[in-house]
Amino acid sequence: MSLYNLDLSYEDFRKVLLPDDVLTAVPGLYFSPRQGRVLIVEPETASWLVLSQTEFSFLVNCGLLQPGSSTRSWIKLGQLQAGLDSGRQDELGRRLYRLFIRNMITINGYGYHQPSQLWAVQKYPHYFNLHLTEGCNLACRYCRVGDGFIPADMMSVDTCKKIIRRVIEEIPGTKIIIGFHGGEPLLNLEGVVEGSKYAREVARSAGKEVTLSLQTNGVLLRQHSNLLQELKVEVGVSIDGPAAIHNRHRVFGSGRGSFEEVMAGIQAARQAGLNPGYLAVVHNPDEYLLVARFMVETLGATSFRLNFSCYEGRAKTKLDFDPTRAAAFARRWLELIDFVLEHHSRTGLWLSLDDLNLFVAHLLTKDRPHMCYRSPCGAGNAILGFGADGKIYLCEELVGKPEFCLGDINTARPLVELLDNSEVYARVAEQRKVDQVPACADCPWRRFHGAGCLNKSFEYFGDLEHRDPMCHFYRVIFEELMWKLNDHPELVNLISYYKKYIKVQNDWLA
Amino acid sequence: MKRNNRATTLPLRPDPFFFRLQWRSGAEWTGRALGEIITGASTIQLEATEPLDNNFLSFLQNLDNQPENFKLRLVLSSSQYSAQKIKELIGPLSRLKKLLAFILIINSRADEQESQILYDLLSVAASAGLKPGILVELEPETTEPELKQLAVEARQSGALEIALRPSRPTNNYMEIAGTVEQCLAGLKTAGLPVSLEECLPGIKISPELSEINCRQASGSCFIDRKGRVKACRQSEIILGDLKQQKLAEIWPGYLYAREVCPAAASLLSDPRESAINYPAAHSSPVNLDSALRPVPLFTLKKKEWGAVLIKDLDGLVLSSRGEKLARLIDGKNTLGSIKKKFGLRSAGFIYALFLKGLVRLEK
Repeated sequence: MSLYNLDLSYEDFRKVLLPDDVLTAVPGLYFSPRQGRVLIVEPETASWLVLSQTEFSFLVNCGLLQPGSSTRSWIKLGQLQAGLDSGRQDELGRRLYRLFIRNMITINGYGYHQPSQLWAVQKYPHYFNLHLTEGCNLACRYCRVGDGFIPADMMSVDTCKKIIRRVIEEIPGTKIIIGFHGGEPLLNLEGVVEGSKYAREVARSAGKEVTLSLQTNGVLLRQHSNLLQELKVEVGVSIDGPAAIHNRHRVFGSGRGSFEEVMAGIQAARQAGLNPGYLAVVHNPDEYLLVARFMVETLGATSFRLNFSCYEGRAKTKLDFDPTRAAAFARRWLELIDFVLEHHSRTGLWLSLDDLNLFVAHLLTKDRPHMCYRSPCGAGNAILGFGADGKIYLCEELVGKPEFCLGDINTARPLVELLDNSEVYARVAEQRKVDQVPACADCPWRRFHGAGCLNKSFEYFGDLEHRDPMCHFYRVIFEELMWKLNDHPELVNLISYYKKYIKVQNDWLA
Repeated sequence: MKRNNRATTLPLRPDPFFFRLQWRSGAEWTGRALGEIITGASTIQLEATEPLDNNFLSFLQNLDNQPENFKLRLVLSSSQYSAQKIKELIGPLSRLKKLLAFILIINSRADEQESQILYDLLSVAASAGLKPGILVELEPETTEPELKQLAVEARQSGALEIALRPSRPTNNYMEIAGTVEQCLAGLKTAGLPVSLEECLPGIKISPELSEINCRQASGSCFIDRKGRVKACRQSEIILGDLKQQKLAEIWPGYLYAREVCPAAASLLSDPRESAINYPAAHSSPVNLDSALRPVPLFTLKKKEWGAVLIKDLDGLVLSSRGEKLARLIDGKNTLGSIKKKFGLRSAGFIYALFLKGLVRLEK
């Protein structure tokens, strides 16, 4: 039996402990007291624990925990056990077990987790996002495509097929996702139809499983829903909430809101048997709850995504971005948890809110199922973006930015070789490691969130060396989620569909 | 105390890597000297003695754009700002990639209104993604509840670090030694550690209770706005003047810790010994498994005479042999393989680094 088996039980832990074992606290722990309890976070392994003030004081007074000190103290187990009866020894053992499996103490120099082995990222992408056009039938005020952008032509069917064939045949892996984006991808219907059919055909002959997805503004869904259903394409619709909110930013070129057309499109999609996913972009945090209610009560959605607006493209000139806005977003976003709880108590159903579900997963596991929160992020290792002209980019959000272009699908050498030898990818992968970004390197939440979105950081700060511009949002919500999860263990159900992708370690409630 | 010849052996302490600089427009270290400071610095802490203005912002932006790899800490007096003023400044400040701490000075006996302004400023700074903290200037009349309340509320407003220093260097805290120690102990067991930015005259606080950020002038120095170099803000001994000397000319005179920092009398004569005298492998409290791999948590700064191993406020002087050993600590070599090259004592040395929080061990 090894102490370092990741399924270590308390009973096994007790069996192998000896009085001569030396316990040391791990440096760099983050402490946050609140109402007679203390939250402890071990940043390097993204582990956390809430202790009562009595338990915490005991560990500080015996010298094992040293808040404020950069050095490690050490103490022998026998010294801690001296004078304790067997009941108290058992209680002490359980405390030490909780600290050990959360990597907050080491035993004879060993930690339970080996941080260097925890945070590996995948080597080659599985998600390929094709911008079938940068053109759009809307002129949303926060669109990442700025006013100065000159839309390229539609992606030709040849280019589309070439991308699909090459990623399926050349990139290792048996499960791949092809995403049709833009601009508005339904403006290039031929690309969607031919690309979808071709992807299935090539995947079949390559023995791979392909998932097709499409993100649309919904305006053209009324015409094309039946076709998308036939093609078995998964559809995501962007809708920002009730008409008053949606029409503020999601407008046609004339300035008229698109709410009615989008709702008609959603209705058509449902009639066609599609089960669209919903995505809203929130710019005013006071509207989080209104948008969530709209999703549930008007659209009948049980799963949806709420993104906040970002400083990029057209939003830079059309919208205001207060540098302190993250606090208000965090405060309002946290109210969504009560909304979900209230919905569950009323209906017995757990809603699935992205990324609430994901953040809960991050508190329960070392897996990071979503590429954006890894270190480095998934740009180039989990996703590739393709411009309408066939240019290859590290991420869908980076399409059109020459700094992040890897080449052209028509001339690029084999894609694996391209990625293995790309200086652009190597530079980004190194610079966006969380330890390399100065503001993130010492952050207690660095392994829960990573260094954030490369594109959002690049757009806001103009380089790769900065944190995510909304990092305060993440700092607040991770800490608050820890307290909430500790007090209401049933919130584990918020993890929703991420259950499929991760292994929740059974230690978090120990 | 041994006074070794620098030409043939190691200095008694590393050249400073943590620079505390006093800023006001026209500060006399901003010219050639700044280039020297940047080259040697791991951290630069700038304390503004006048309200932050566009001049200072431009200076900060220029510093932030330097290619050298150092961290910036900014110290401002909270009484000089309103939340509105800070909101105007916060945009440009939040864009500085090297700015890793935003510290606001507050007097320990600040009234309710002043304290409220501090809490507002902390909230604004935290919201903008800065890492705020407070530096409490301690008045000898301060009571324990006053200090505790300030610490607790500052933390709730977003302060990530809390430090103390004397409100005036001439203060004597002997009479309130018990109160201060009790307060520090109480806050520590509550999970709110408080450090000392400088020592408090008249009190010798146990390092287990609170660490002194100036590290008793080891690896750290203070440069006032006139360009005068001192061991710390409180020291009356001027080690050199940047208007007339280069930093490299000043450091040899910086070696005599007892003269420049009265609180350093208890320092060991040679920091190399403090490292090497940690338990050697045979006498360490634990038999480390040879298969463990030491992973570095430090940065190594090459010097003519060897290297300095740095983590945050702490540094350790290494000879060239020590530097070679430190370079093997890369997360790939095992303790066993390092021992083979450097002998048994290397395991004791690495264990010492482990206890100092400079390496972690992995399987």
